[in-house]
Amino acid sequence: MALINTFARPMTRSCLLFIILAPWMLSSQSRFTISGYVTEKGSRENLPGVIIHQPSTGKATTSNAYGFYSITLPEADTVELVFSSIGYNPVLKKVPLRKNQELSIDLQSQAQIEEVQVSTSKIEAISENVQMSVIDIPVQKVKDIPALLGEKDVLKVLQLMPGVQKGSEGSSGFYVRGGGPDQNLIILDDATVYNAFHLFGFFSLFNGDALKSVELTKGGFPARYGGRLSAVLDMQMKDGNKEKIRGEVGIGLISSRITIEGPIIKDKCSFLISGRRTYIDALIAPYMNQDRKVGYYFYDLNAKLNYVLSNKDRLYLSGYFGKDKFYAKFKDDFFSTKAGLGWGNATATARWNHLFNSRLFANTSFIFTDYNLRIDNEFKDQLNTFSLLYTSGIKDVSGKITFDYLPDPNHYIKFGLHSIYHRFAPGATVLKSSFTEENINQGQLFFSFENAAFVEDDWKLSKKWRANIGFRLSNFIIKNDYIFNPEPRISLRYLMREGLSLKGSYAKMHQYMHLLSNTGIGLPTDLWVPATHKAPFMTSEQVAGGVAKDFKKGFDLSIEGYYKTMKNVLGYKEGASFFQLQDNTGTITWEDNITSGRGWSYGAEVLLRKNEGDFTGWIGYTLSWTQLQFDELNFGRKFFARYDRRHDISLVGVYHINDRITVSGTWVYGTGNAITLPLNTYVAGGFGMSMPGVPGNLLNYYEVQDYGQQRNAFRMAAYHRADLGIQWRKQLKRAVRTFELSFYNVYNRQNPFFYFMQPTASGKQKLMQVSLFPIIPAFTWSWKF
Amino acid sequence: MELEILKMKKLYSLLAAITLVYGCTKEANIKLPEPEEKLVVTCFISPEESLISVLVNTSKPRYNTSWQANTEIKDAAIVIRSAEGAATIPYVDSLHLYAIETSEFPILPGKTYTLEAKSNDKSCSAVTTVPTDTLHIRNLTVSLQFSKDSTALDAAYSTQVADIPGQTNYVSIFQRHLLLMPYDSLYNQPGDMLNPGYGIFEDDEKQPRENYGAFTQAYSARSSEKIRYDSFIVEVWALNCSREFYLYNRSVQEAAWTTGNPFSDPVMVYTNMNNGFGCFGAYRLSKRIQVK
Repeated sequence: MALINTFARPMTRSCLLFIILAPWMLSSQSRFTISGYVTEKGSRENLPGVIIHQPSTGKATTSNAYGFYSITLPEADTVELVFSSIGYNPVLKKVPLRKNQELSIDLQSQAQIEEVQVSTSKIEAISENVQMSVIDIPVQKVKDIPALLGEKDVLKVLQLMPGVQKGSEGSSGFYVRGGGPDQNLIILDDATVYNAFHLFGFFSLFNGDALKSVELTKGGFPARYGGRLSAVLDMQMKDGNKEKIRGEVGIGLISSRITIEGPIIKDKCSFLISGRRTYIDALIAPYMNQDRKVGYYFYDLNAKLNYVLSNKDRLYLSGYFGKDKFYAKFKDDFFSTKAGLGWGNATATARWNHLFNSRLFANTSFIFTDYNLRIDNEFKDQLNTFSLLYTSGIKDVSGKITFDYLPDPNHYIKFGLHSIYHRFAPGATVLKSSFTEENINQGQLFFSFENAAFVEDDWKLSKKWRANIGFRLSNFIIKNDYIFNPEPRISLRYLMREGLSLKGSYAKMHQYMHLLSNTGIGLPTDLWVPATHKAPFMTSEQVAGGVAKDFKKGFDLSIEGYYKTMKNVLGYKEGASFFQLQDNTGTITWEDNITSGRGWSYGAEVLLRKNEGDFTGWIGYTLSWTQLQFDELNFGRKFFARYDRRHDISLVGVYHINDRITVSGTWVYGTGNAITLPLNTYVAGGFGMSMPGVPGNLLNYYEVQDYGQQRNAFRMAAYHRADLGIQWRKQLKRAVRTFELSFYNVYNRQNPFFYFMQPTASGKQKLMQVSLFPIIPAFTWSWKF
Repeated sequence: MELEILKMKKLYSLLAAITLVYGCTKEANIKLPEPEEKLVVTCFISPEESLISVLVNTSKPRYNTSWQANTEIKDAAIVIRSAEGAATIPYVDSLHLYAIETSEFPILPGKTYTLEAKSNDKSCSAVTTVPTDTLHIRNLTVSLQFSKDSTALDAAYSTQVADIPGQTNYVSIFQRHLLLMPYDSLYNQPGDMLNPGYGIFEDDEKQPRENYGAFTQAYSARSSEKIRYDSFIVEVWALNCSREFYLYNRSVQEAAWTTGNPFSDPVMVYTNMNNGFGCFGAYRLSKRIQVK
């Protein structure tokens, strides 16, 4: 028997290998591959997500993030291939297929031609895609939708999608399916962005002029993504026009921006540089006197350089650098004080594309990212000087290699390795005074490695069944701890009939870092910290199921339900905050401030879209519940998360009246955030120690608040708002000028931002609501040349 | 460009004016419970104490009521009960508390007690069980180290408490030390020192903890004067607390510690009072003194 087993095992393995490889081995004799790059006509910008399909057989593939595609088909005198992508005119190509072919295609943007042709070709049919819970936002759509103060913002458009919620009024922070902002992986050209916000969360870092693609994955994560529990926002910067110098200048109410792109060596090397700066500080400066100054500004800069080394090799260098700075100075005859709060991100990515052969594509990336926060304060009087400096931050250096292998149209295999070296500096404080010595709370530095190996296959099992099956092995190393976690991923699609499919997915995710946040809205004071023994790594499991239906005239509908569990979610202990350096037992670290618990989120999402024609837009609705439970919070009982939102509705419409005028509007409604409010106040007697006596009863009295014995027991008033915008475009001699007038909060809804207590004239305490933004008109000019 | 900026300034001022006019503060329109005053009753009992004292006042709803500094109640009916009997606890003016000697109503280890309070139309009650055992203070280590020139002194002491096996221990440690010395030998300090330390801990059975209350204190003399002292006395009290005692006192401490910090998360103050606030808890007390 043992002998049989000895032989049987290799035999079994060989048979299995043969069964798996047989279709490719047998068919390879009579099959050839067509491969190449899909680019935009006029700019030679690589186009990701283009569908390449053979109408006669229905075989199809998609271009990857670098515009590369590969499709292997049986030998034929001629094959027809249609290249199509939303926003571009489809192209039909007839190719003789007697040998492997290189075929690169330019697609013309519909925005570049006068009349938009409604195509019947295959464009992003949601019923056919195996991936569920994915949102693609065309960058042009971001520019069409009205925005607060006219500042176009990718993240705010994402907030209009079902399953994605905003934190508070005006905030760019987003919550996906019950996960906090820390559970969203935000990637810009492969680099992780740790704090994606300017102006305390009101605007995102991402300058739409520099972006090429924006994709948000809410569930059913492919194995190539990992490191966060709830969502992946993957953004690619434009490569830069390879044919002509192009540019765009925009002047808005609070900021101006400029983008220039063009060839350095035509068709071989191009660049893009895009910058933006606010001028609130310059505008308010005349109203300040020398002794009282307050100011704020932010700026950001995106730059990219790419070089086609050969037919098989391409090089991309890209970077982002941005900074926010708030400052205040006061001075009189007796004292002076100055304070500053600054934070900034920097990322740099070097990528090398290499084509091993027409079916195997590789991308190797080296990435650096840095986020830092600095708070400083100095107080001087005639006798004393007191200063405080608080710093925190995170730095990553990482390497990533990803292979795209397309053996035949039924398989699209991606595999690779990813390794990140993290350096966490969760908070250091320096206190100085004229009378006392320097008091330094150096803060701990943490170093860790996060590694992953992954493989996934987008597998067309039959005409009706399609699957994306993946596996990710993640690893985390901190000090001498080595943690390995398997993460299975699967997405399935069953095509019931043409245009109607059922989908399901399961994904397990691990997150080896935490964001400590008192507010949950993505303030710069939030601290990134690594998973440690006291703050163990987080795990989530998510199952989702749904229906996708494509209708005529560009309508599609998706309905999805999901259930997600989260383990080791972190929260501050009651009474703790990021700035707490000491408690009654002495100096404390961030680990003493936190506690871990569990979370549950479940709900349903409906999205009805119209993607084609003069009128486009969508209706989104989310019904959801999110609950948390921590042993040390709320007496161990479950409570609703601050961002638990029962109902969330968004209506978005963009109407191109003609090629000169576009009008757009949005309306949003959301159940109010869950909040904790004090209901009663009383004097509590505490056990204490007498001076100079002994421990004794009721020696200490404290005034305390009662919050109804339940955390987040109350709801803010519901949030709703409508925005309208109108754009006028005019073709000038050398540029297209666009003037946009927009109105934020058209019907002047007073949405709550926060609540506070205020005594009235009669001495009674009232709960007051502060609203932030009334109706706000805004305008922007832009010139595109 | 300058003209554009001038126009922008005007527009910015206009927008700021609009924001001031329309962006506003108004009374919140959200559903809140009807304001209701409740009794706040706090009492901790121990077989080692000679007095049962009870603090009684009322809570004030935060909304639609006026702030009131003095909410003390002197006319409440306070009754403490056990399986063996009951006693009414009277108000004692000199203490500003309701109090009764334990000689009149003994508190016994392992027994369960109920405290009831009634005042006008308000009433509340709570139950607690006195821990059976006292904690054994296994070790109290004291060290005193002079600097080479004797102008500085480091005092350190730590306490070891033996866990009661097979249960979660709720431990509270009080410490104080006394450095007895000739007056004025320390820089800017009186002749004797007192530093009470206080901590309260949940000691999970799965992760036993024995070391509590490590404490250090540095003294330095004025100029080059040498420190002289007569004796250094450390006193430690270890409380074996009921769960209610622990939850309440810990949460009250946290609430007090974070008062005024706008970044802090709210602290839920524990109560075991049915239909009221406050706490009825119990503890056993043990003590150790070390003189050096």
